[in-house]
Amino acid sequence: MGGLTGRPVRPRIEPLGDAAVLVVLGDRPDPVLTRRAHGIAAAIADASDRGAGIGRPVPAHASVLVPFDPLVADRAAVEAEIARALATADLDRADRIAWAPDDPLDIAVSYGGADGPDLDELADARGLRAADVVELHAAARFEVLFLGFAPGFAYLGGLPPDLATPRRATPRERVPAGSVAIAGEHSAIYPRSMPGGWNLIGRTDAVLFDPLADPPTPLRPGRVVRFVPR
Amino acid sequence: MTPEPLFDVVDGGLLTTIQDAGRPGWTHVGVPESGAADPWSFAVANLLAGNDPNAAVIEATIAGPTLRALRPVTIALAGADLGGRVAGRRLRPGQTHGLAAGEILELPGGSHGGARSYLAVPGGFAAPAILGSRSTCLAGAFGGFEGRALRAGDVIAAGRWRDDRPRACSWPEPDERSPQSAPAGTILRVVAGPADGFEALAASAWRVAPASDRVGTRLDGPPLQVGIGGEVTTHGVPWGAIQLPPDGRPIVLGPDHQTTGGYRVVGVVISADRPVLGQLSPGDSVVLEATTPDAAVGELRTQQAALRAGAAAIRDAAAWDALAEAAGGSRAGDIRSSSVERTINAMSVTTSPRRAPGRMAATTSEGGDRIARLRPAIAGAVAALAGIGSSELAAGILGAPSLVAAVGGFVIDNQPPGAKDLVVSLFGTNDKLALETLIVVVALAIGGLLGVVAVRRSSLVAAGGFVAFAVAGFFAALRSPSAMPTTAMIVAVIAAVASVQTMSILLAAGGAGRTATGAPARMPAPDWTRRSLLVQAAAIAAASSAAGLIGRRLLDGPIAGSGGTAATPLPRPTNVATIPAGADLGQPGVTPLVMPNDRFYRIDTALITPSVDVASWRLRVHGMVDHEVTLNYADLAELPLIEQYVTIACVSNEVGGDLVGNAKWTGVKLRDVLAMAGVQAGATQLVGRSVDGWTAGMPTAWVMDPSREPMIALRMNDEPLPRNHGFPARLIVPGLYGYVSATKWLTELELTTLEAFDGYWVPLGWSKLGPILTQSRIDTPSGGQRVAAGRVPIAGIAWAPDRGISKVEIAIDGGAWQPAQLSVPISDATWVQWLYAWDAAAAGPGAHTIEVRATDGTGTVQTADRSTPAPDGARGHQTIQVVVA
Repeated sequence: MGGLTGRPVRPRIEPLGDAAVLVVLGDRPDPVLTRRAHGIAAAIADASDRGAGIGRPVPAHASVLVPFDPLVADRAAVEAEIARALATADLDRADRIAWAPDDPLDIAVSYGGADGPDLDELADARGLRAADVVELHAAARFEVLFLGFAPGFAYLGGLPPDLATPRRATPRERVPAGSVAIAGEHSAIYPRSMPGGWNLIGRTDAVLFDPLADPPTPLRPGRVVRFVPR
Repeated sequence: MTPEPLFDVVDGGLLTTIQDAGRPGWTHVGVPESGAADPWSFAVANLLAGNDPNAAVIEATIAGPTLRALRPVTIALAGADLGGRVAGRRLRPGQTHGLAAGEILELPGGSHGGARSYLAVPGGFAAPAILGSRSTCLAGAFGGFEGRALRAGDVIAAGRWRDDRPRACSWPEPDERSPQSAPAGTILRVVAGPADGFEALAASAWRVAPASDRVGTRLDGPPLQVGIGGEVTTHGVPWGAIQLPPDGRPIVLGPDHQTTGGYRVVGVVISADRPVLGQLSPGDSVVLEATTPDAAVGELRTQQAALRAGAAAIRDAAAWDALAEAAGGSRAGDIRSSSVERTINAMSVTTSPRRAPGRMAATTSEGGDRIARLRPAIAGAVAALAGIGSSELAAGILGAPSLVAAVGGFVIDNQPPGAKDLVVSLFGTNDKLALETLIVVVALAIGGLLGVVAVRRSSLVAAGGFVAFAVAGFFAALRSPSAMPTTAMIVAVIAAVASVQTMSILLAAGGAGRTATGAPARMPAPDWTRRSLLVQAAAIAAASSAAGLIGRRLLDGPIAGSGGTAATPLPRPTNVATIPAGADLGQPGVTPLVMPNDRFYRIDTALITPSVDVASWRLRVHGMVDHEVTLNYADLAELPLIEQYVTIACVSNEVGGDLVGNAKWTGVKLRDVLAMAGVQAGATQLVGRSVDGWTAGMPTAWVMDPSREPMIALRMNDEPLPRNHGFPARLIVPGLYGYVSATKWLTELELTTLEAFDGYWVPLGWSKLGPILTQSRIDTPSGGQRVAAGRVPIAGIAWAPDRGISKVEIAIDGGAWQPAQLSVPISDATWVQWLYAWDAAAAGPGAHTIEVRATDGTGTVQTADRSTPAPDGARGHQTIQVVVA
């Protein structure tokens, strides 16, 4: 994953309807751009706290979605805020606000079998033994890139390149809660039962989303995640 | 404040959730915004309920819930019309409605337009505020009611309950934000980008796919050019984003959308069209139209201004209501109450039977005990007699049906089998007199009972009993073909007032003893004794009997116009109309092959149904004829009689509507009557005229075409033509809508030219020519119904008189047309039944659309293009949604 090179120098702002813009930092998943996205999002969140008609930004691999209330803020004002955030946000700031390399989160996983029905197939596809896949996955040092898709669903960066595997051709209608999965260059944990197309290699009992807890998920961006075989 | 339980959920419906304005601000941890899918209707519901804009409401989808009110409650409905009803009352959106405790609210759904209905109660529904919102987050299983859709057995409560009085309140203007349908479908306005490809989408017609939900509205359409859809680096996406996956089938994101997505976004539906998006249901046609962000914001401002204007109007209405209440509801009550009600009120004050029963007993002498005990019964019986006598007299004078005779007629029509034989064997030819005497005796007995009730229980209940008696007589009287509602009502009111007044007078007289002890009495006769009861009772009874006998003499006499109308015997028809084997598929739920008279649709302009005296009735044939002809009923009955089954329909029948019926008509050939007068060449139009002046014009050529047999019908389904179906004679012309042909209470046939005259409805914007369009209707299952996942019979009727029906087809979820089984037609002029056995299990659980179309006898397929009934009949296919369990 050669995301450290070739990223665009100038971010661009693309309209996304009448009530959001997308700040595009690059055109592929890139952990450096993800960090930068968090930094920009945090800076824009300051503006949203000031009541400037700007909603909570949504950072992702290489972009930040900035929603706004078009009856309160016009597009020019929103773009001015974004420009200010782009100027002030830097990696240091991102580290301070969002990134937390210490305090790793250990997650106990039961690999394979009924808990990881795709483990063998994934191993075959990668020319590995199932045990190799487990060893590689459990040895990796993942970090939370961003959350999306569903409440508490975190895209985890740091997947060993040997394990990178495309999504399943046909998504499952029901993926069990706690399923540990791989798709593309990422790993993830399904926080609850839902439809999904990722390859399931194991399962955990850890609670990864509780709307009544503060914060509702332990998977904050930048946090290191380690999988411990059970 | 403890939540106030409001509703038992009897049935949860397809997807019923608690929603508020949504849960913004948590998308960065993957929590969707949620909130009402149609923010406009959500706002209207809360405004109607007097709530703050973020109060939690119930959002019902396509097939709504069934709720039992646990206490009296005012609800506000907005959004889609899901056919709301409570105890037979129809509940429409855009209004508040009062529910009594125990009443059951149903939102069954059906093809009324729109997918989502919003139900608000004052103070909002109770739900925990989680992450700043009470909305249901289905993806996270939290918020709303236990994080899920409502289901049977749930009890939902009000949040901050305000014990407000039911307040009538309705949204001041037609709901402009409900889906606007263009000819090609509902328009969604879109800001294109960021990915390319929107142009390809805008050029296509789309249909909402069954898999649509709060997460996204999925669109089906023609395959797009390869490569327009595709995957991109996952990024945040807003509500309204149009994702285009590699398969080229767009998904328009809804309020429960995933916070990030990896498909190309080719456009975003503007904020102002979220209400429209939220009201789309599977099967709806959709057009995507490009607009600019600036125009989109302008639309949003307009929408907000409309919402504010509506809110201001409601607030004014509410203030007016409050003023009216402060001015005193009792005064308004006085204005509204009728004279009968006032009499009852006065009575309850004067008699006050429960006020001093002990005192009454003390002042009644030993010797008067017998009379004292019988007094209430005597008063009641005499009151009943007064009612009967005065109403008979009034009926005689007005020429209205006698209430006693009417009740007797009802008894005759509804007697148990064998009862008539018994009565005839007992009383011989005097059976009718015996029956009426019996009715009078029973009425007197019930009157006596009501007198006792007045004293022992409540004079109001007793008075109600007398009024109910009169009302029953009124409805029985209306069954007579010669009854006019106004005179029948006068007779009934006289009966009610006379009996209630009589009871009031007699009980007051009997209670005069109390006057001596100081109890209040309204009657200005302080020196009356108990004996005056018997004197008065006897006098009233004598006068009532005399009035009754005089009235009956008048009724039976020659001046009465109602006498023997219905009994006019007609000779046998020269043919026998038969129903072929296989004409009735016998499928439960399907419209009867022959519609009974009392269920046959009735559309006419007569506010008061004309009451025609057969003896003086004439049919005049004039205009461009060789010699004018005037026929009376007997003249008509001398012509050869024919009978045939013909399906007639009303031009105002909507697609799927029930203003269509099939009956066996007996009468004379219209052409026989026209031949007597001799139609002149150049007479291109035949005009039928009712006794009330209504007219219908049809081409003479249509009537003269030997392939059909237009008729002057005298009987309907082997009964004399009912009064509201045109007694004594009406036109039945196969193949034409009623408004250009089916003249009821027919009294004139005029030959003229098409240019010279327009029938009643033509100047009002309806088409001059009105052939019945080919139509098909789904009778079962009904729209919104839940069906089991097995073989589901889909059945209904189709009609194209008098071209006939050659084929009926069904399409499930917009799929291929499948032929349905057809019944054997009675003739080309009648409807057919059809049946299709649907494998619902194969279709899978969830919402499915069923569409029907017919092909007529000429091979022309019923058009899918929708049109309104005006000017020449509704076009389009009926489409319903059902939910497979």
